[in-house]
Amino acid sequence: MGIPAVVVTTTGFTNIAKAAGRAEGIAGLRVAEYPGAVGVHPEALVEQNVESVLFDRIVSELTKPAAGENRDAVGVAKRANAIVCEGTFDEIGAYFKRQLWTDELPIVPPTLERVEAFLKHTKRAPDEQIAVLPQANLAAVPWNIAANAVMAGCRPEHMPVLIAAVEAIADDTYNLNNIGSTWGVLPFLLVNGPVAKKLGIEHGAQLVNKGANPALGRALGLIIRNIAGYKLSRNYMGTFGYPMNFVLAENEAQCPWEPYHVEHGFDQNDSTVTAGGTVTWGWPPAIYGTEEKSAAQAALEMLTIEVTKKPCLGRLVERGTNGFRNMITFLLAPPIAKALASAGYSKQNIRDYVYEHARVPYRELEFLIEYGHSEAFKIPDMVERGLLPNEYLVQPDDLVRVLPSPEVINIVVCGDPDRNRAMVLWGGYVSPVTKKIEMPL
Amino acid sequence: MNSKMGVISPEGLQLRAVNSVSRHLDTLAGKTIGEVYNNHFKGEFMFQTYRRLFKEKFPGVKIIAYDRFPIVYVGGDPVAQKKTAKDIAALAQEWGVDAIISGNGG
Repeated sequence: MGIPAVVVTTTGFTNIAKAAGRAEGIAGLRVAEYPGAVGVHPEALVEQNVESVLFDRIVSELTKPAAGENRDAVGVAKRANAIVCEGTFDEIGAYFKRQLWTDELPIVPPTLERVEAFLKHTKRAPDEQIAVLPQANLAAVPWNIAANAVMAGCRPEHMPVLIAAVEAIADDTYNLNNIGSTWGVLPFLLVNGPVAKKLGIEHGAQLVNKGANPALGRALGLIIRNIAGYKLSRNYMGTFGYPMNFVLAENEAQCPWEPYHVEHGFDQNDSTVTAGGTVTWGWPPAIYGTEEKSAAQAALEMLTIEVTKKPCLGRLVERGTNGFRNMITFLLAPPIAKALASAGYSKQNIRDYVYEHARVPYRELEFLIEYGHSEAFKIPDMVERGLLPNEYLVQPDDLVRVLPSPEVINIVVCGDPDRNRAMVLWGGYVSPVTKKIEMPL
Repeated sequence: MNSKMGVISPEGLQLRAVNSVSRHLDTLAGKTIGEVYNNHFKGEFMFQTYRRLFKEKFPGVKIIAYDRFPIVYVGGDPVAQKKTAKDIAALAQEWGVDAIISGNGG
């Protein structure tokens, strides 16, 4: 439009801003970076940082030549089947890791022979453009889809599923351009129709870990890294990272309704793949302080709410030798940990606060115990049997604690050092055990 | 494991033309600056601070505040986002904007 523009980011987000610019075909986007995690900075510090650092950066970006001015470059298409590396299994693995082409796990080397076996399982020409994937806006063709599939350990006959998956994540409706968020959005696939049975894509117990599912999920993750161009710490910004991408299939034989793909307009005998996304290993709220409520206080209240949102409160409340094993882990990104420590909170203070304040109405706990478990006990029974103390014998609207003790909370400082997020992991059946690692001399 | 093999790249193919960014301004003095906001990361407070600093350091700067432009919603529909961006560009040109500050990314 001929008007210079500068994008303001917070620390750590310059790369993703530039990547988003490139996704729209703009090289050298002007970016001015605010120093630090603005969410936990009080207004006086924000004003100071703007005045002493950010404002000059904004002015400089708008008044000095940018790297991207007067550029009219056109990307040069590589030959998709060119040999880029020759070496042993280990040498190729090391090369791919240096190129940021792996998910940090060993890969199956995508030799021409292996890749060509996949190409036999599609009618599409090897060089045919299947889609252009943001954020890098790179073209997916059967060659590179197959290369990622080989790396992931897929079988050649999985190729049609992955081509359809690429088409799904490329659709504007999917919004692949925005999955780099610090939320940690994890794409997954749902497979419907006869292809699931034909390819051994599991729909039963432990489905995400069995059959073709893990390899297909891993291939999806590699495609997102290598074709969509999402690279960890550059533009794939999940504060606490990502578990492996996973694949589901629907148990259509036991589905009492129309299966998912029929519900969405496909024929029962069609085979489909649906691209979805989740943050279920934990949504990390971004914690902000204001003039009225410090970041530390906001963090304590947010952690308290997160604890009460966890699903198995009926088990979480149990205590004593016969009580359920519980373990709650707070992942605190460094800005949140520092805000709490600066306000004088020790780890024990945090545990005590959440233990005291994480409460739900008695009637809610009663519902969860009665309908969320297979056991016959109600709260009075649990008190009688020593699983709950007498303080739980209250009226339906009274608030009761959801934690058995402060000590079930484990606090770990980790994640993006520039992001003001925290995440709460609930774990049942286990209690934490720590052992010293003996190193060889 | 020790035999040599050749492999192909798993990367996507770069096909798209890359456009240049607009030319910089020689000075901001006397210019019209548009604010574009996504309602995130304390931008409303930061824009206020920019206004004060522009007034102090660049005489004659005119600010068109972010509440006169459409808000760019984070995580919204990409098609709607692109339309919003086009609407903002059209308004900026209509109002004679010389430079835009857009934020906040985080």
